[in-house]
Amino acid sequence: MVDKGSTSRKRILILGLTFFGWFLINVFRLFYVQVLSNDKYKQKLTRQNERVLEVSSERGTILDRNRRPLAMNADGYSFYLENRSVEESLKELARFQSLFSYTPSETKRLESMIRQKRSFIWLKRKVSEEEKERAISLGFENISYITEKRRLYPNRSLACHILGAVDIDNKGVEGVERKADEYLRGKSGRVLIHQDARRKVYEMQVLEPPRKGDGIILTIDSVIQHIAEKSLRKAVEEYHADGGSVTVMSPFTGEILAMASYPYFDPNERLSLNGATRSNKGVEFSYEPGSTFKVVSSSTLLELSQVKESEQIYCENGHFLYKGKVFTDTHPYGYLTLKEIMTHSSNIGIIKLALLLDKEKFYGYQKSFGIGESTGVELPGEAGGSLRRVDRWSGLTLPSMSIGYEVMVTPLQMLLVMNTVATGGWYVPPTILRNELPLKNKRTRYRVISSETASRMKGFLASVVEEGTGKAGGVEGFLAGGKTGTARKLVGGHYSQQAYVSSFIGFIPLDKPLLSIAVVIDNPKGGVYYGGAVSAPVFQEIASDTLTYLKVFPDPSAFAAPIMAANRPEEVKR
Amino acid sequence: MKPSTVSARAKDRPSKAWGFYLAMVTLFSFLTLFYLWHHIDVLRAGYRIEELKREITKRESEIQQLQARKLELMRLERVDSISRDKLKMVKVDPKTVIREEQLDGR
Repeated sequence: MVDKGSTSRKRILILGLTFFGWFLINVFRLFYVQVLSNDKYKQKLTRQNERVLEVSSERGTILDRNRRPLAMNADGYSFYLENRSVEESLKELARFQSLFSYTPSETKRLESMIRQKRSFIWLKRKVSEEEKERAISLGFENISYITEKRRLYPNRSLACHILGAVDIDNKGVEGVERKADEYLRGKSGRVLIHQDARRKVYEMQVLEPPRKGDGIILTIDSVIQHIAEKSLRKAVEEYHADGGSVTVMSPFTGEILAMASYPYFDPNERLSLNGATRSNKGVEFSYEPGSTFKVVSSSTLLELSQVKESEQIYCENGHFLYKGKVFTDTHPYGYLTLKEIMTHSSNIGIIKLALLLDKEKFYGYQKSFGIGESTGVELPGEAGGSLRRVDRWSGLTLPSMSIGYEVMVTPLQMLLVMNTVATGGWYVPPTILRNELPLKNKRTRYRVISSETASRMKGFLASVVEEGTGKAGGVEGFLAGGKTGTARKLVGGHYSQQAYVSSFIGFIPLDKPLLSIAVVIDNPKGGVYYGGAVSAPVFQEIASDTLTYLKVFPDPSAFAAPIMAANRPEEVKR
Repeated sequence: MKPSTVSARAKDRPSKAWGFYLAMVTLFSFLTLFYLWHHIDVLRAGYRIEELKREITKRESEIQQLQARKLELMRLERVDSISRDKLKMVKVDPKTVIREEQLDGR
């Protein structure tokens, strides 16, 4: 008889040994996998379960001087097509295109990509939330979307030429977006993604965090920018002009408060970006300034003591022949003092005085006023204008230059000339950045003319607004200084009789200027083209609205007393 | 008496071994289960954290969208046109502005 207990003990022993053996096999296997083949399996696991992704950084915001956002970021939705079947894809593309505006060439390109059987095709990138919802509602089989950051300009066309725009990959291509791209774009980061067998992410490890781009604060004031844009649009439309530019500055600090160029564009709509529209005329438009340049000529004359204030100059009754060329005035004048020459903007008066000037010295003063070189303002594409060296001057250059011909300037350069008078003789470099960045204009202020000359020039310019060609630029209750300019445009090598650049450049209030404004209207039509008629009213409107906005009100004594008295509460009660 | 003592000891040996093996297997199973539970729990927590992170990103994005919408509604051009055309507001005439110090006769 076999002992029952012994049999069961044997069985238990065998079972135990089996478990033990299984345990040992596992231990050996684990030892093999985890110790001996560690590197091999680690690599295999990494390949299957880990992925390093580049995370794009968020672009820095652009704010105005009152911290109002001018450019920010929002989610954009990018739609793509998974091209599984050419026929189905073409059908879905046609449905998708009904939602968005596609040019025929774009449609052709997409269709050709589908026929080439490309597996992944971008259809539309960075569309808005509403557009995404509309697309989703159509229910596509092969069209999906991913979320990307898109640049948003909440004020649409406001300050469009200053801000510029970005391309589809958020790279700055125009304006401040381009100039300060290095600071705005930040730095991409890297993330290690751990995913399971079903490719579902269960852990994300930040290897290098993305660094958000630096924010930029501009000197622009949105409200003043809006005032400038509104007035400019009105003038350009009223006179059917080709375009125009307005620049508003704080003369003592050199800060640009507004810079408008017409026509405007919406930087949110990348399709609207064409060369002519996106040009910032404030810094890119080079033109012959005409009579506004007499500020440079007069200042030089006074500075070099070439003329006494009381001295009378014969203005040849409107026609002056010099070296075979006839120079004219709008109205015939006899004897005028320098102040009267400026007030009535006599070309002949200035020319006759300028002929007394030493060419080199006149050239030197023009350079000091900043003519012929860019101002260094933090905007891309700035033109430097053009100022010929004295050895290249013809016999007619000096008289022509004294009245603003044979010299090219930008509106900003001319405004800086006016600022020099407004600040008592200082050239203050312009800036559009409030925060300190390495790209900030490095130039320093320097004296151009003496304070006495500047003070006398202020008197001349006040007279222009009070009783001269710039009357329409006067703001009730304030004294202002300014100069009008009407320059013929050079068309096909000849000065046109129909095309003009009309400008008015001035500052307000006269004694302690808060604002300086340059208004330049390109080619106004319809018979009215004088700077005093076309541009001076724009100056008046902008100056008046801006001073009200800044809560700078005129001295009550400047107005008729009954108005104030009638509004006194006690009198209202009676 | 001696042989019987030996046989009793031999009799006890399998039960002790059984106890030992059982304890080992239980311990091993327990450790294995604990390891698996711990691992799964960590994974589950990972999924939850990722889900919450996505939720935060979504909410942040919503805040950003709302801010953008607010700014669009506060656009100066729009405010200007509503105040003029709908509310019939007019531009301030500096002549009609009375400052406090004027009323005080200062």
